[in-house]
Amino acid sequence: MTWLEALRAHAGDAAVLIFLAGAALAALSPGRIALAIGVAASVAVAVLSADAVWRAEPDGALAALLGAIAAFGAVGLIATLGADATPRRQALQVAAALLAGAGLSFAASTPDAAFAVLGLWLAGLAGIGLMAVRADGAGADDAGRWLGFLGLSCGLALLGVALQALAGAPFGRLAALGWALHVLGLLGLAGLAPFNGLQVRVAGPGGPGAILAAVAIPAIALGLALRALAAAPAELVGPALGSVALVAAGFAAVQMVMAADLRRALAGLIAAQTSVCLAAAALAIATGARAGAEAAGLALMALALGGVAGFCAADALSPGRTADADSLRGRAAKAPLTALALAVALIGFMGAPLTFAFLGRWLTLGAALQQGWALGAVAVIGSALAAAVLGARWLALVFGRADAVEDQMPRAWAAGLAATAAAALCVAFGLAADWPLGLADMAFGALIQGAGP
Amino acid sequence: VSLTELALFAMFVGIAALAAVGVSLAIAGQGPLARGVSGLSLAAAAAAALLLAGQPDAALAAVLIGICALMVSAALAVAAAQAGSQD
Repeated sequence: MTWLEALRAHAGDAAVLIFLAGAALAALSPGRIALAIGVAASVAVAVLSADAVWRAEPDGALAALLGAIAAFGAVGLIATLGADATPRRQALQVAAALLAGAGLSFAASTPDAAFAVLGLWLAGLAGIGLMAVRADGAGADDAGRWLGFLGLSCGLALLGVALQALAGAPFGRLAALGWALHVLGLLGLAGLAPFNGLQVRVAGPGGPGAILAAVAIPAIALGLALRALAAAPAELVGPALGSVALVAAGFAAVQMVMAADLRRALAGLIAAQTSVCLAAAALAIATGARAGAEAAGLALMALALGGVAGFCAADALSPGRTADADSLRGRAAKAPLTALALAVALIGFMGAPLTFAFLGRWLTLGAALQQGWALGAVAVIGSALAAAVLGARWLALVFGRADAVEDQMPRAWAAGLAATAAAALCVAFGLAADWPLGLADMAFGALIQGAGP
Repeated sequence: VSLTELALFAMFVGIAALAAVGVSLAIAGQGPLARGVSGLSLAAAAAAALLLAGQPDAALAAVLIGICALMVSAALAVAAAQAGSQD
């Protein structure tokens, strides 16, 4: 076996090692060199995952996840270019971002449930480091609260895994308790409303730390939760999960409508998308509807891409600590492409046709109507309407007239570029849906194994 | 049930109780260090349970991550104290 074949055969492990080595080197290097190391590591992992997708490997879904993580790494690093940090802080930021990438890659690639949770915990700790290095003292408190929440969620999930292993094969009471703790911990990390209160607060200060807390870790945790959900008896999971998804959709709608800051509104929109994903999973598990599994996968991917586009656009349009109405009014005139990227992300979360997120909602709605789950259909439509009202409000602000006296807008071209790239992917996947549909089918087909129609 | 398993179970219950105290302190807002201690004790409880379940590698990793969480919370506590003294 040549080294290239070995690299291809162990793409997941290689990605973790590349990120870890990059983090160690970046921490010891001066600012600019650390940035170069970070970009090189992210590109290397992206090439690895693109290679696996190109060759249609059985673990192509995993490879695509790794690609998304590598993209996050690149996005995070690019976004740091805009921040006015000292070289030492910049190097530490790059190291923390790469460490988070290693944790996420590990969580996505390991088949062991306990190690997956530990990978997420490591990524969360790196994210807190990222926020603490960037924060000017004031953000440290929210980061600390999130640290406590992270420990609680991961601890519960790990206890659940251990109880399941103790209980053994038949799905008895002990195994059910363990399974419930495992899923509860993962759903806490996935940012299911109203448990996402802390993630919404952490998202406020923005930057790559916020993208980690509100997008990357929740997306991987949601994927792991969907995998864990498939392991339990369908008659136990389906109806309960449907009710949980409905309640969470209600909380998320309140969160996004009440938000006075764009980043907090985005966090609420992501929580609503999480609820749609869970509703689709509930349908898939309870009825064996393949459309449900595909819709869950699509909703998850749309969450990750739309989240990155939205948060990067918010960082580029309003690089300060707050992204409120005053700081965003009339920004489209100064940064039209970035404003367009924000519009794509918001319109996608509204579930408008021809966008990536629309596909997931459409499939969920179709499956719910087909199975006669009227409440689920109403929740999907209601959540889209709430998102439409909210999105229209923010878009009207950004694309509206600016005040007569304007402040000088700092140039954050790198975050804008990242937002535009993510938004372009959202549009491309919305128009050519075959590839993401196939990926969703491959990754979450397990949801419908053993469930009767 | 062997003596080792009993000892492990006792450790698990003890650490879980400590974690409960830590979590309630953290929720009551008793500073970043309490959050770190709660994270560490939850990780230790999970590690004991994983040991009981026959997964020593994952248990060791959980303890290491818990210690990292404690160190991060200590660093945050120092940062918050410095920011407070600058004000």
